[in-house]
Amino acid sequence: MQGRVVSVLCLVLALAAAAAAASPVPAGAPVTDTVAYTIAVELAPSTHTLLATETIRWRNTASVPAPDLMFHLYLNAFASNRTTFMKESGGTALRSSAPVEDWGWIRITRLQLPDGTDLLPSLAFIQPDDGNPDDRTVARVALPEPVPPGGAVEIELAFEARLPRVIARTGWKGDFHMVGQWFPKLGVFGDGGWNCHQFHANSEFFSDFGSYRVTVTVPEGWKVAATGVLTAEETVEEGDATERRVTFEAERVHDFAWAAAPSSLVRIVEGEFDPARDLPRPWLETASRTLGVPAAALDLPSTRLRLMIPNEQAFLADRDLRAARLALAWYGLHYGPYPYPQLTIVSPPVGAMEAGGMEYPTLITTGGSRWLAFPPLKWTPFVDAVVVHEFGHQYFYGMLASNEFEQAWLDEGLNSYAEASCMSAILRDGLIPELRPWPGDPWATNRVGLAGMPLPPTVDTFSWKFRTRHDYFAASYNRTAVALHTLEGLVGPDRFARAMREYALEWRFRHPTGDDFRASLEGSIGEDLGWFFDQAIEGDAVPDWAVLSVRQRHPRAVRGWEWKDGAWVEVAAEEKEKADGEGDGGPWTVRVDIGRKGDFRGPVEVELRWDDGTTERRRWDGLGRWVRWRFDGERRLESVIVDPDGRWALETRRADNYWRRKPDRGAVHRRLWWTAEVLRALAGLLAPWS
Amino acid sequence: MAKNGTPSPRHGWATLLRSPRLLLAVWLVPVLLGLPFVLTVQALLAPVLGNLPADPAPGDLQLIVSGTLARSVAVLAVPVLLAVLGGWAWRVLWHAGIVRWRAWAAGRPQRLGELVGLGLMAWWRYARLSLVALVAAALVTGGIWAPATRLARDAVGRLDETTSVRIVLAAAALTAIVLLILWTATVRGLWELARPGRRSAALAWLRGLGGALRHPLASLGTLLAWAVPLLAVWAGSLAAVRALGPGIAGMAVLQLGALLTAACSIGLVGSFAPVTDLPPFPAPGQAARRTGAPVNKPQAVATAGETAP
Repeated sequence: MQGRVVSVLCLVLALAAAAAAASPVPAGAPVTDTVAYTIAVELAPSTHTLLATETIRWRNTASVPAPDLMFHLYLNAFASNRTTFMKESGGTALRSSAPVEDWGWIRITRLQLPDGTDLLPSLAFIQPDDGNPDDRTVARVALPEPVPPGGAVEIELAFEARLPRVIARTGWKGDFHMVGQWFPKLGVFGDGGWNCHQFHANSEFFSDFGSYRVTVTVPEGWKVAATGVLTAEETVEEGDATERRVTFEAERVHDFAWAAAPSSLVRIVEGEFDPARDLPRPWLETASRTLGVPAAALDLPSTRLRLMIPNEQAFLADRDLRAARLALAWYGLHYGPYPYPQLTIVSPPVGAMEAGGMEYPTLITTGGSRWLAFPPLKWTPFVDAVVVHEFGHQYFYGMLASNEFEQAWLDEGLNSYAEASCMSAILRDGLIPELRPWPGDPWATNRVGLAGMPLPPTVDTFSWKFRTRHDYFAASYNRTAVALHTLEGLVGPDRFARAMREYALEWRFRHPTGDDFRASLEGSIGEDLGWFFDQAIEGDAVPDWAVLSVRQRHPRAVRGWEWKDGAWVEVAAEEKEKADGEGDGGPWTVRVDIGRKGDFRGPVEVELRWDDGTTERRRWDGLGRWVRWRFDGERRLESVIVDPDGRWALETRRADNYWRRKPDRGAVHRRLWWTAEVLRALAGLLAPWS
Repeated sequence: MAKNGTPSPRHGWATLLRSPRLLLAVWLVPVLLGLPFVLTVQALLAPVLGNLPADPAPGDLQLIVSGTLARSVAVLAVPVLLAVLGGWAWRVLWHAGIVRWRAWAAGRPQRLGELVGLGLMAWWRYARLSLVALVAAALVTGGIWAPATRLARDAVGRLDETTSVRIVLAAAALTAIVLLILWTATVRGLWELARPGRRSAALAWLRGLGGALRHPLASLGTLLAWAVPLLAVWAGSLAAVRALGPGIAGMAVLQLGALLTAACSIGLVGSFAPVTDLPPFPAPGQAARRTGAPVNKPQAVATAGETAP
């Protein structure tokens, strides 16, 4: 009986599994196995070429059939000065005069189904974004039969590629090889068809989650760092040469990158994030209180750290690993645990700095220098901030795999917000000893960056449609980060922290859009945030509040006639003697005008400090252009401050937010006395030559 | 004293002790030249900073100051140039003045007006010397850094940052040494230009360079004997103001520091007087007899081969 029940149960489960496999994935569920790549690649260091075979098994998770496949062939972005990438970037990184070995390309040499059906003849380059015929970064191949919803297809490829001299975080320099954007990779198929953009100067990521098994062959004695974890390693004889063959595997990721260099150039430093040791207790307690989650529920797993670093920068290894541990702790507490067993960090040599500061799944690149051994560079936070920022992309790009081409702010902006929060906490708590002398404030840096913009950019813009690259960076990084900081101030840090965590957990291993982010925040916070997103992200509104005027007068002495006992009588002589605005005593008529000079509408607080020592705060909805408040009483205003807590971080013209009855005459000297000394030092530079 | 005698800080002290009015001027004129800058900054920022509370919202101070100054670059350029170029012109003037006074009127009590008058008359000649020194410094610095930068970049290209760092550090050290030598040459040149009949600033500077190279230890030692305290006093006064705050005590320390750096500057120039075979400070009244210069008419001091400036 029991055996029959088990048999029936197994049959039901098998049928359910089969049904699940044959139907499209329900909307909203995380999908982490859309695609499986198996790649074997051999690096020829002398020519900087790759020779590879690749098998892709792809599952159609949409509800419409897929008649074709679309591939990223992004190394072709570096094939000539006419590609879309080169035109958009102005050729600054790879000049037209560069020798031919500096350019890179990829070519598919075999493309077939497992049954041997040759698909190569149907391969065609397309340019969905700009129609540039010289751009061959996207290819389409027609399938003999469409892949039905829930169905799968397997294809086999062979390709060869020449890496460019390092550019846009991929390529070679000397013997150092950073291999990113290097293999034919599928775009993302949805109900609207393929989303597969060309390679642009400002953006490069959007693909589906899946598994990777990549075997890399390099010369003996070379070190390899890669996405995922090392699962196999062997030494092979190839003719006269001895080679090293290493296999890396990764699950639930949407890209794969690796770096290789001889051991004479780099070393691998192993480390670990051990939460019992590395998680700052005050962070845990604060996060627990802020998020309303018991500390025990914020447990973080251990993570293996693997750092590839130039031998001559070995002194920086501890600093890189320390920054990575702090990032693992901060992001883990606030956005959920890092789910992978390992984080790999590649610190390229200084000559290959173009490879630095990049994110790939479970692998980030940073950038150090021997100069960081010397003060004052030693006291600057750039290397730590890069580690934190790039690690942060494991969340905002890695797990929350938004479309960077179309909404770069969802990864760069959200991550810049998280990075600034994390770096502020690190600096505040003095967790990196080298940074203790550093006076900077990450938020001030972001705001000063925004203040210099001639025109406010619209954040929610396709990455290649910004007026300038500067606009792209200012919008996607600074403005988004500062806008979120503003929202944090407006809704309250605790509510905002909870909402960000919920978003990060809800959309983990999915492809959130801007609307999803907004809806998630609105759901968590319980407010309609449309007014804010419409202006800050989808619009280009700029907040700018001001104290327009403050008038404080004695009530006007009565002149003429006054109505008394049913008749007009002349004002008494003693009343006439009261002069207007005379003396420090009351009573007073106080009139305050607060204005909105910018086009951003929203509520703002105003602090009024009275001469009797009391302080009151008023809230203005900020919808109109101005508001006037009038007070009659025995007290006068000492000062007025619009947005006294600086919640409107997005506001960069702050000088007129402040008013004082008695301006502080010594303020300039007290705060800026040192500028005269700077001038004196400047003049002193000529002293030896006079 | 032998011709091309050795410079010594002792002579600087003697000059300094005889130049109390010059000391006040060297201290105060740069302060006055910097005043337009201070007043401009005050005028630009007082209306905004004066309204700030002691603890404005985070980041506001940086935003307000950087924003206001960025919008006022053109307005600030004028007082900055005035302070820098004015400071240079003033230094040329008092350098010329002290050398000429030391050469021809050292026996008499120093009169600031006389010294300034002497400096004014020879200003252009000494300005040329300064320009020669500036050009030489620029050429030498460029000559060091152009190849050093290329070599360092090549090393980075070979992924050899260690060599690159060594090249840059070596270039920096070499630059410092060479600039010290050139500085010494310039100070010696001041005195060389006081020699009777010498009108070429370039020649005087070259002779100064020759002297610096012939007597490197004495020259550099004397230079450093004043330059090191000068920098130490300046840095110390800044540190003191940071500790004391920019109140009355802080500003007093700062001005005391400025006074001491002015003293070091005068002492530094005076220390090189012996290089041109000038007599030691004689008793008052003897100088005119020894140099043959009329006491009260410095503009008539031209000796053989030199016309009055």
